[in-house]
Amino acid sequence: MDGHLKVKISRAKETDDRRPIKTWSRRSVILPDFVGVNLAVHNGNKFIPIFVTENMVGHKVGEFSPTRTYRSHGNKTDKRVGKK
Amino acid sequence: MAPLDRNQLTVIGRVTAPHGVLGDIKVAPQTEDPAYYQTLKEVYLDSPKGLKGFKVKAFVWKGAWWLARLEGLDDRTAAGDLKGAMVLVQDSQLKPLAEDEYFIHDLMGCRVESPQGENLGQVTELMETGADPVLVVRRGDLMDTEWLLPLAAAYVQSVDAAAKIIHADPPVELLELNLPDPSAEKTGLRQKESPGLKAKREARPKGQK
Repeated sequence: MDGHLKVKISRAKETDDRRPIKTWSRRSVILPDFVGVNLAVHNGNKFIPIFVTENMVGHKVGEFSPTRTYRSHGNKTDKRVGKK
Repeated sequence: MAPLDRNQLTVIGRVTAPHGVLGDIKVAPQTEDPAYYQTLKEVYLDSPKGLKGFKVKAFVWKGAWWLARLEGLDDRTAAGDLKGAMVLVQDSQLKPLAEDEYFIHDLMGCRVESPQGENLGQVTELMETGADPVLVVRRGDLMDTEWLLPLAAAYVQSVDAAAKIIHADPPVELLELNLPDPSAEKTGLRQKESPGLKAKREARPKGQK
């Protein structure tokens, strides 16, 4: 866990800041303190915004910022997504 | 079976191989709940020969694929000709959506609006990140920029898939997250570099790259 990211997150939590926190520290582990924070994790090309939830605790930050893009075919398929 | 408009059908799988000598086919699923579709009464197959409807005799989920027996498909040769065909069902036969669940194809092309009614762009793509899905929104402004919107309650207030409108309240920083950084021009980089890399670059002797 990189100290500089922890400092940024504790500052954001104190001020209840909704702005995404930019980070390049993909190796940092998500701690329980991070829940509810908006992170923007760099994937080598751009920042991917992620909203930290409870079930992400224990994973590394970089796991949620994919470095490769998968473009599916244009079919109308039975694929769904949910708002959490 | 009455021919249908292709727009009223949705892909749930793809024929991968014939099975046995009685015209059965193996179907690979392209849906998240394959077991739900075991009670189908009719399906449509979209092959290079065209779109054709079939009554279903059996559509059994085998753990990794469906084994389907269709009316009018009685021998292995005919079943083999359908290899690669897409399996479609009518939209009315799809599993109903849960609350706050949306079809990906319904989100494509949606207009994103701020609470003040400002047009923030149009959804062009969806990225699966392992966390919340992230919508790629293209702004129709002069710079033709893209920004990323996580499909999370923190940012998205409501989605009206029928009207193709997403009501979102993103902070300005999210809209400007991936814009080119003006200060990066000096270093010749497209984006601002990380603080660690910047410190390393500045520590190098002049002239060394």
